[in-house]
Amino acid sequence: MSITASHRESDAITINIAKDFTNAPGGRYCKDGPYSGEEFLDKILRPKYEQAKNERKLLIIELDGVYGYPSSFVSGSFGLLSSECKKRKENLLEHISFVSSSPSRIERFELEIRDPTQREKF
Amino acid sequence: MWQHLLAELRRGAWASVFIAFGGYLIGIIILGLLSLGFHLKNEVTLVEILTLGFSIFVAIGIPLLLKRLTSDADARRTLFMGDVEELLRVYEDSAKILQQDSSMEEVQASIRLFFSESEQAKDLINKGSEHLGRFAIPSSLKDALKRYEILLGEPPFQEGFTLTDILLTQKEELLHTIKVEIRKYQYEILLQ
Repeated sequence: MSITASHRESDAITINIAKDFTNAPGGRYCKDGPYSGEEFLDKILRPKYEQAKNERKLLIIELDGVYGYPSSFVSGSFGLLSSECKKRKENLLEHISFVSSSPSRIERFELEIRDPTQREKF
Repeated sequence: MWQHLLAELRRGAWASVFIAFGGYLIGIIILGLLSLGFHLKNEVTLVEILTLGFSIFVAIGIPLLLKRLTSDADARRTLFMGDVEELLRVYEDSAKILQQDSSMEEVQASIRLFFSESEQAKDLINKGSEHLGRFAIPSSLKDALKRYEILLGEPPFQEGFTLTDILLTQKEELLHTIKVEIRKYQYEILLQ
């Protein structure tokens, strides 16, 4: 797996999940199998987020080209990063932006970041 | 002309049928009141009132009803109803995924596909709702969909997943809630 995160603009870092990680995301934890949310968070998302934050750049996440995102993957990666940011009083959505042909897909990810504890309410 | 009306009946567009029936009833009441007020006859039989009422209904009600059924707004609303029906179909079909005799990889692939189809169905509804300027997905339905998505997106992706009766029961209960919420949403669209 090679990270090909390209700098679309001089002030942005881009992650294309289908190209940089997988087109078939898995579950929440690494123990659940390959391409889990935890693996994505540890290997790609968190390092790129820290880089974007330090360099004061926007982190663009391209969501298309994937067969579908299980809710556990979304929660195990973006939800967990959002919880970490909340503890440090950071607003993840200020540093991150999603690109997709499906507005509902973007809404799912943004909702997870805004309220990473939503599944506990259900 | 009648094909349109029959199609509406088959499709279950009861609002249109109620409008037609309401028009008929109001026509009879008006006729009854007029006959009382003007004393055209000392005795007006029920059959005469109904016959006249039906004539008025045919002369006024049917053209108005057909105008409504063939209007642009109603055509858009009908298309929008199709999008809502498609959302229900996606969720109903997904219920079969866990019951199939498939490998874990196949189940997970089907669930990924379900998430994509569900997003597409919601996109269509949101676009339609934006275009019509109303009928946004109710929050109660959004919650029901979310609960179901959490159930389908969690256990089947966990290590050592096995299909239990509890999970199947939960799935059926959540799916039932979704069906109820979608029906409520459909009636809301029809009656507005």
